[in-house]
Amino acid sequence: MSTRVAVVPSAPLLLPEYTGREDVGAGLRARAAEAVGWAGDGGDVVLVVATDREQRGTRPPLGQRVGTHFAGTAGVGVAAVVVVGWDASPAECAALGEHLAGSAPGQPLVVVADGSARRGEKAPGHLDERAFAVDGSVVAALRSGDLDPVRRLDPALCADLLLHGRAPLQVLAARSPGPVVPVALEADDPWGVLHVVARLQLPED
Amino acid sequence: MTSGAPLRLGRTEYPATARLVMAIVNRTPDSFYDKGLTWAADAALDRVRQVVDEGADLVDIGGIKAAPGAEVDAAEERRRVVGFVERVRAEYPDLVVSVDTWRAEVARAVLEVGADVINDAWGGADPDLPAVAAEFGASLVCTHTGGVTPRTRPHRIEYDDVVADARASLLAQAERAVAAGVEPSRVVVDPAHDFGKNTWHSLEVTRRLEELTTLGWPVLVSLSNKDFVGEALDRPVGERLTGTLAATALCAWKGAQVYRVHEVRETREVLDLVSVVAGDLPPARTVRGLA
Repeated sequence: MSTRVAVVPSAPLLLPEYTGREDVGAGLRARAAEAVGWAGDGGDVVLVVATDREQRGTRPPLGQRVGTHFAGTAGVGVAAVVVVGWDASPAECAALGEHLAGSAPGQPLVVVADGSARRGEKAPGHLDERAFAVDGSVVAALRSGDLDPVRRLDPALCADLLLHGRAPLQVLAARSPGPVVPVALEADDPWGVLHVVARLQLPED
Repeated sequence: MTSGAPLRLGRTEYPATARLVMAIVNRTPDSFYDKGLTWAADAALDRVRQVVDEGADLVDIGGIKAAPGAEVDAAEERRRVVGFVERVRAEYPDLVVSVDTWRAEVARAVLEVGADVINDAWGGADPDLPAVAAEFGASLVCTHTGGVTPRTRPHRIEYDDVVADARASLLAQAERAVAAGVEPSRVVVDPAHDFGKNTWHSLEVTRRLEELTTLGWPVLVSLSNKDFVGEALDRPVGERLTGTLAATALCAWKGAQVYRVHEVRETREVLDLVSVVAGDLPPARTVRGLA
């Protein structure tokens, strides 16, 4: 018996309240919701989300709202939400992941996590050439199932690169100390932010 | 921001938040703005095709220029518009077609060949018009002209309160239309900028338009390139588009719902911007800061 995990984006344009007449995120939203549905497989999921870097008000983090929207679209319940500080240290992330492994074995996860927002001149954070190598290491890790590169992500560099999914991904890496089984992955950056939709399985459960 | 009222034109029902572009199509040799550009039927039909492409919701076909000029009797007016309405109807079965006429006999002729709306731009000059509109289930635009004779310019007209006069006149005409059998949702009112009004009057109507848009009848405004825009900005015909669009935005914010215009694409864009700001229409596409 393996535990399913979906990695999905947290772009606010995937929420209905931010959608214009042209639904630019329709395809991405549909594929992310399908991945969440696959992970839940008729049951509930646990969301792993980061706090907002640009928190101003009192709303729940965007990652939580976007992930909950996917779950709703997919007809999957949300059993719990693990909120990790976007700038949490790798040790804090590891502690959260290990706690999840102990407290909710077998519980499917939805990790709401994006790559860098600095992947072009028009990107939200403008261009930082370093983004491609760091994002590349994350994508390669999710594609191969060896999450060591995720564990090694440097919080300061990721903060510089507006790589907002670093902390939730490190929670995932700690949740599954061994390699994971990659099932499917897509990654694209049409608006200068790397969005990933991935399906993984944790073999040890 | 002021909301309008629901309205029905042709087979379409529009909500109170609709902002519609009515494109002017002249079958005249002498109208002030296009100066006969679409006098030939083929040119006029090309104009219809163009404005439909540009996003017009309806067309307003007219056979007589508003200003004084060569006499056009009813037979000549019919010759100019009836066959043309028939051609437009044949090519665009679903397009809402309005005809600008004050004459009941012309209205009957165009309604027989499929027109949907009668734009009575001279304020009820022909008392038989509402009954004809009613007979065909058409929509009727009632206008305030201060009671002037069709095709005359205002000269030294004064009102105690031009908006009050427009309100009373439009309410009376709307009630008369309903009494004649026009469906209430098919009655539209137009304060008729510059008709029976000097520039001060048209500006005051614009400034106080919400006193008309809150009466419960959908309001049409005809601002396009008119003299009040020209005098406000000291711009001749041909240089009034910016002023027209500014007035359009103001009227849209104050609840007007139908805009009789020469420039469709620009008007559509202004009205869409107002609708988006008002929250009646989502923005076209939103990515900035949200990816």
